[in-house]
Order: sequence, then C-alpha cells, then structure tokens
Amino acid sequence: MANEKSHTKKFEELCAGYVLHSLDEDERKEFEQMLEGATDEEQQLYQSLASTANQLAFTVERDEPSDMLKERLMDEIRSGESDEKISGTLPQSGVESKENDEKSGFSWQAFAIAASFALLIVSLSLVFYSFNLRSQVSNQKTRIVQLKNELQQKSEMLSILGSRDVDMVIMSGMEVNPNGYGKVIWDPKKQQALLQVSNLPPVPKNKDYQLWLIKNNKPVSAGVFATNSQGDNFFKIEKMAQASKQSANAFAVTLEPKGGVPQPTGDMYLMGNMK
Amino acid sequence: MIIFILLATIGKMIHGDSDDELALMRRIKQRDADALEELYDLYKRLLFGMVISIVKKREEAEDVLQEIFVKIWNKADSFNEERGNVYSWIVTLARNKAIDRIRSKGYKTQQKQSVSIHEPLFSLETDKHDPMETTIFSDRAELVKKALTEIPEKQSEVIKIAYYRGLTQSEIADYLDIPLGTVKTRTRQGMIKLKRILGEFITNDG
Repeated sequence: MANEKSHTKKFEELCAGYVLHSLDEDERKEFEQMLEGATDEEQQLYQSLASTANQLAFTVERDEPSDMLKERLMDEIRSGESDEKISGTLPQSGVESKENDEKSGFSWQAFAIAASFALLIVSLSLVFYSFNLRSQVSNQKTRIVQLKNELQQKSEMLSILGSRDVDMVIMSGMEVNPNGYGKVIWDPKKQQALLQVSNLPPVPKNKDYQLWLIKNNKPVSAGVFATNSQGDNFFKIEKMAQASKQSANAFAVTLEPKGGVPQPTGDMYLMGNMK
Repeated sequence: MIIFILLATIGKMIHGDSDDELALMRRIKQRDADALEELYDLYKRLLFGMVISIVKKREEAEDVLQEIFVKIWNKADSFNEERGNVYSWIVTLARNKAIDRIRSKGYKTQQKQSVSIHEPLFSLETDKHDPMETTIFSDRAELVKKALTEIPEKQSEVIKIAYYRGLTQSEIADYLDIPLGTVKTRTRQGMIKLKRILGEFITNDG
C-alpha cells in the first residue's frame, strides 16, 4: 500500500515536471516508460496536468513578430518548399509519434462511428418518410373512395331529374327559420325523390332533420337528414313512401331527435304544398 | 453533407472549440494557405510571446515561430478533432519547438555567455491592454493569472520559471539555489493545486 502510494507520488512528481518540459533527459525517458504502463487513473492525471500546463500559455505576455516574418512564412508555404521537409528529433518525439499513430487510427474509428450514426439518421428519416408517404397514399385512397361515392350519388340524383314524370314541390322557410327553402323532386313511379335544402341551420349533435310527406292529411316519414355547415345540401331519398300526386298533400321538414320519430314533434322548418 | 454537419456538431459538443479555429484547421488540412495565414494572425502574438520568453532573442524567436507554422502546415493531418482542441495542439507543438531549440547543443554553447538569468522574468502583473487582442484568450488569461496567485508563491515561482523560461528542474535548482528535490516537490504540489483550481475550465483532451 505504502509502495503504491510512493509510486503515485513519484509519478505525480515526474508528471508535473514532464508537462512543463522541465525534466532532464534521463528523467524524461523514465517518465515516458512509466506512462506506457500507467493505470487509467495515472493516464488521466497526466492528461489533466498537461491541460493545466497548456492553460499557462494564456498568461504569456503577447509580443508582435515582424511583418516580414509573415511574408517569409507564407512565401515558404505557398511555394510548397516547406512540404514535408520537417526533420530532427523533438524532446517528446517518441511519445508524439506514438500518439500520432493512435490519433490517426482513432480518427478512422470516430469517423466510422459518426458515419454509421449519420447512416442511421438517414435510414430513420427514410423510414419515417416512407411511413408518411404510405399514410398519404392511404389518405388519398380514402379521398378517392369518398369522391367516387359522391359522384355516384350525384349521378343517381341526376338520373331522378332525367325521369319522364317528376313532380316538384317547392318548400319555403317557416317562422323559426324564414330564410330557408327547399325542393323535393319526386319520381312517384320509382318511389325515389331528390331533396334539396338551403339556408337551414346546421343540426345540433343529438338531432336530425326529418322530411315528412303529408298524405291524406297524415304525416308519413320520408327519411332523416343532417345539413352541413354551409346549410346547402342535396339528398337522395330511397323508398319514398308510396303516394300518388293525388293522395299527397304536402312536404314538410321538422327538427327531430336523432334518427327520426314516427310522428312529428319538433319545430317545422320547411313546408310546401302540392300544386 | 449530413455527416459533415454531424461531425462538426459532435466535435463542438465534446471540445467546445471555437468554430473558427476548427474550420481553419480543416481548411489547412485541405492545403488552404489562406487558412494558415488566418491562423497565423490569430496566434502569432501568443506564440511569439511564448517563444521569445524561452529563446530570448527576437531573430531566434521569429525563426522558431516560422518553424512552428511550417510544422502546423505539414502536420495538420495529425491534428485530431476527436482527441484535442486546436489551442492545446498548437500550444504544445509550439512549446516543443521552442524548448527543442534552447536544449539543442549548438544553441546552448552559443547562448551560454549571452543569457543572463537575472533579467526580469515575465511581467504577469502588467496588464497591457491591446484592443487588437482577440477575446478568445483574454478571459482565460485572467482566470489562469488569478489561479497562479492562489497557490503558495514558492510553488508558483518554480512553475513560472519552468514554463515561461523553459528551464529544466536542475537549472531551476541552480538558479534559486535550492535542492533539486525541493524544486520537484514544489512543482508537484503547485501543479496539482493549479489543476484543482483550473479543473472546471479544463477538458481532458489536453
């Protein structure tokens, strides 16, 4: 234990002198040997003492070399004369060249790590990008299905208009919403109708509009619908209650609990009589 | 491109190097002479001050300074961003060169008569403000100067002589007329204390 401690002290002593470049030749060599077999802790001490010594340079009193020197130096550099003509031994050349070897090896390793890290990021972004693309494609597909459905609806509605015998009832807004209006274009033979409403307020969450056919003075449900925020909508009504022009008196729209009710209970929004 | 940005970011995170210096070193590695000129302008006063305090003569110091930058140019490839910062690399290289010069046999015989060890040492206390000085160094300088005043004077004395004058411990023992063992002990104690005081400002990369 005591031996170990004195070794540490000796190491510290030589180390402090070494980083200041103030050891004699034989001690310098002794320390360099010591450093090769040094523990991690001792290596670390060496590193931090070397850093400490380097900090001392900050306090050196600055001095300005002559301008000529810069010219001389840059001439030498630019003419290429200086390339690799460095020779001679440095006090620490042994350690330095070893460090240099280590450094260049380490550099490749670090480069490889950084490169793989970069590759990982690139791959991750590609994966993310492809997920994004996939979700975009899926969104587009959904949109296409929506549009197809819409188109089909529209063409079905138009087919109602194209029928030979259609009746049209114009409905006007009632007291609760005087600006509203609507039309029912009705093909009694096919029992289909096309409903168009405008200026109706959007339906509350738990409500629906319900279309009534007033037949022999009795209201018969012709279906429920909900308006969008623009309040301008077309609806196709399948299986319109069987009624002839003669037996039907009128159409009306009321606001009812969601899903509709057998008999009208809510406020009447639109009403139009058969002519 | 991504790799480059990544490397730069990692390097900066680890070492806190100034972007400018790192960028300059990268350009020097690619044989950009203008970059070396910029680095020279950035470091010339610090390094020249350091070298002249060791070799004493201006012509000699200019010669060494030129050698230092030629070496930076030629050995730029051995500078490793992952392992150390630009400042440490350059300062270590410069000191090696300067001390190399004064310990070479020819230099010693040539200088023996002309060097007076009694000429004033460094003027740490004079605070010559130079508006041209880059701010990179000045804050650190204050910290280190302060740290040097916080350790016992006898310890800072041997450290200062060793660092600023480039004397060996035996030469310091002769100069101060104290036993070599005392120089060693004071150097060790002083450096360990300095390390503790400056610890938070030092990265382990040297």
